[in-house]
Amino acid sequence: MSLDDEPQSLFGANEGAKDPDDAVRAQARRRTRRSFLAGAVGAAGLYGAWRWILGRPEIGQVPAPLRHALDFNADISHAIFGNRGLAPTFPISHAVSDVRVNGVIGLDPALRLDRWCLQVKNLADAQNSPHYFANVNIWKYADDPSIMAQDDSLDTYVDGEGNLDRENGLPKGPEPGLLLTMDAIRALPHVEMVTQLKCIEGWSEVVHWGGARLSDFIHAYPPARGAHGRLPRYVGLETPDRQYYVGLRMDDAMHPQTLLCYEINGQPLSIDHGAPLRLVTPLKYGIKHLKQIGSISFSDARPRDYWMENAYDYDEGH
Amino acid sequence: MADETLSTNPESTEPDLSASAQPPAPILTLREKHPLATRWMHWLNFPLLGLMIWSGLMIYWADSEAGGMHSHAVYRIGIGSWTLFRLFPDAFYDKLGLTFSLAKGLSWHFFLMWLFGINGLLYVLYTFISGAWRDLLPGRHALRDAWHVFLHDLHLRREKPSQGKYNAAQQIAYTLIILAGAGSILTGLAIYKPTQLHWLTTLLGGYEFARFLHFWLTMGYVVFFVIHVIQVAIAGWNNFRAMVAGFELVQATNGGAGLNHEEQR
Repeated sequence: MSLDDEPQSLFGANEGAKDPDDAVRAQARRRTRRSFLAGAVGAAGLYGAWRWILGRPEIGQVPAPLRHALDFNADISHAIFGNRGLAPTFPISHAVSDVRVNGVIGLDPALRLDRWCLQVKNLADAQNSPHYFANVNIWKYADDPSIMAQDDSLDTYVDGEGNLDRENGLPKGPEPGLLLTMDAIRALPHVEMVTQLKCIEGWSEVVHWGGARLSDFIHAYPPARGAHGRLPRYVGLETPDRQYYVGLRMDDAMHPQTLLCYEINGQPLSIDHGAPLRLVTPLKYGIKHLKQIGSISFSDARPRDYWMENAYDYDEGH
Repeated sequence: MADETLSTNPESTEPDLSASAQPPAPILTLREKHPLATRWMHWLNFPLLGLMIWSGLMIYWADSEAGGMHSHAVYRIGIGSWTLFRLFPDAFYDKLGLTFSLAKGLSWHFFLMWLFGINGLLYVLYTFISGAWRDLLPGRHALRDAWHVFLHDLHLRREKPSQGKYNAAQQIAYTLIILAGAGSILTGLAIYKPTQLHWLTTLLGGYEFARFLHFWLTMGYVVFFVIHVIQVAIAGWNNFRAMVAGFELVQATNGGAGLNHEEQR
């Protein structure tokens, strides 16, 4: 029929005809051409944006625009939720008896718990404490050679004398602070909670945790305040061997469900679950739940974070 | 708006027209169909949804038995503990290069979600403000009419149901797909912030069920896409061009009262 504006007519197949409909067809061709051109420009623009994003410098293995989007999302989330919300809790009967072990980076299965100490840095008035050391990094964590001998796949870095090699990210200068034992942690109010641990890979488990609130710890060992007079913006935690490390915003650290955890199901932590002390923060994915805490530090600058350096979001709130 | 006798059965009326003394000559006219905003939002949604699915698959990979690290009850077809088919097989992820990319998938997904959500929101706002929703919302007899469209499309029913800009089947499909988009955003939020938004997660049946919904809504998009593309291919160039250039060519007899049947699709 005369409704023959097939694609080929775009290329002038009907030139010269006298049909009164020709003016309409010409107009249709003109508009079609213009629209397809606009569409092509739009597609090219999208492709260009794609290439541009991929070509930007990476921050923690993520192109800067995507990294900024992740941080922006975290800011929005903190602005909306703050640390008001509580993670749902469950009856103890819902807790699993055999908690899954997932991830052993920085976990030292042979760590001698009798030689464990918690290093705490950037505190206010630390020098007045009996636990004060001018440089807490002098503390040597040690491994039990008999456990080391049982498994040659252990993820540890040990020198000839069985002391942990802690070169990874070790600060150049001395760091003053406290060296605390588990007695100091157990002296804080004991809390228990049953919350769901969510893994960023998708699985989840309800776990019965026991320990002390990190907020109680921070009140007991107040960080040095900067010129602004407020608490530092971040808390950084690292394993004794410094192979695994996480950072938390202060409001996450002060959240009532963020624990320095030393018990699961009422029993002391097994080494697999981060003995003697681990972090539990049920508003975040499991990758923030650092096992085997070696040091706690406070800063206004964002502390390094293992999974952030490996292309994950820094905040990891859910 | 269409002339009943002409539009419902043009084959039988055309010989009559040509037999009469001086039939009014059909005039080719250019009729506006899709506004510029609708067209841009429609086409923008195509790469955005495609990239959302692409990044979503990287996230699913980490949690699917085939190739991934954990088996998950959601990404499969089966009942209870009995599984017919697991989504997706190893080769699927391998071929598309989606393995070991959880972090990459997450960073793209949580970046593109803004663009996908904003584009969808603007579409809904525009549709309401412009009044285009009147053409899109299914009417009272939509289900019956859609059934007739379905039978007609399968050549099981000769008469074409009367319609406005869209037929009843289109109205239902285009409305459902917007509701599905809203569903994807809600279930997405429920599994993005299952702890902070736990009331929403609970409302949607819990973390696992919200993931189930999020996943199967996406599978719904894929089905929609396939049917949509087939229908557009059948409907032809005039219809397709309208989604690009905004207009369609119609045969109008003296003042545009009678419309050629070819514009019906």
